[in-house]
Amino acid sequence: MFFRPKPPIRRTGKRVEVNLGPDERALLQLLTTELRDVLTHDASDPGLRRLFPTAYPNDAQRDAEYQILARHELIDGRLAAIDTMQATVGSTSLTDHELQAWMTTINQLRLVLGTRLEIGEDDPDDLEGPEDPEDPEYSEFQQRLIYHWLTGVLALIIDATRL
Amino acid sequence: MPSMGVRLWSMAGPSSPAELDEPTTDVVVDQEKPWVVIVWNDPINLMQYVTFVLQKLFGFSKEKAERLMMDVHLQGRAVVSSGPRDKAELDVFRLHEHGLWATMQQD
Repeated sequence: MFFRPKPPIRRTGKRVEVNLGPDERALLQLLTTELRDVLTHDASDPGLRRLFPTAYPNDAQRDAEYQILARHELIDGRLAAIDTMQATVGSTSLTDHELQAWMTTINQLRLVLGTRLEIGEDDPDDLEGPEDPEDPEYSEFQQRLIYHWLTGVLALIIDATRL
Repeated sequence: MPSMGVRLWSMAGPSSPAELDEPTTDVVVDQEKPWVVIVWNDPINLMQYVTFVLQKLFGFSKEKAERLMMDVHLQGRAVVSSGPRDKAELDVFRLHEHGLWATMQQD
C-alpha cells in the first residue's frame, strides 16, 4: 500500500477538516486583508467589476437603480464572509457556515485576481515562469501561481460542501 | 428609491388580491412579458462551482445543474429562471452574490 496524503480540506462527518500549512494560512490572511481594503476603500476599482456585474444590459436606467441598491448589499455580504473566514483562517475544523464563507471569499479572490491577470478561455494549465525575483515578469507569475493554488483550494471546498 | 439600510428585496413578495382589482397598465405589461435570467460564460468561474451554485440557489438536481452549466460553457449562455421582474431581479442578485455573471431581460 502506497502512502496517500490526506487532502488538505475534507469532510469528516458534520465538520470539515482543514490541513493547510502555516504559510498557506498566512497567504489567505494576507489576500483577504487586501480584498477587504479594496472593497472598503475603492469598490469602484475596475478590477472588481466581476464582483458587481450588470443586471440589465438593455436598460441603463434600471441597471443604475439596481447597482445603487445591490452594490451596498453585495459589499456587506462579501465583507461578512471575509470576517468569518479571517476569524477561522487558523482553524483545523470548520462548520458548514464557516466553509460557505471560505468558498465565497476564495471565489471572490479568484474573480479579482483572474480579472487582474486577464485570465482567458485558453489560459495555459502548465505554469512556467521566471524564478528570479528581479525578472520583470516575476510578480505576475507569482500572482498566477496564487490564482491556480486558489483554484485547487476552491475545488476541494466544493467537494467538501454539502447542499 | 427605498432606503439603503433595509433589506433590498424584502418588499418583493406577492401583492394581496385586493390590490390587483384595478391593475395599472404598467403592471399588465410587466405581467404579460416575463423576464428571463441568463447566466453567461466566463473564463474564471469553475465548472463545478457554477453547477454547485445552480443546485444551491434553484434546487436543481445535479443532472439539471450540470446540463445548464454545460450550456453556459459550450453555448456561452443559458436561461436559468424566468418570471416577474421582482423575482428575476432577486435571482440575478443571488447569482451576483455568488460571483456568477448573470443578467436579466424581457423575453
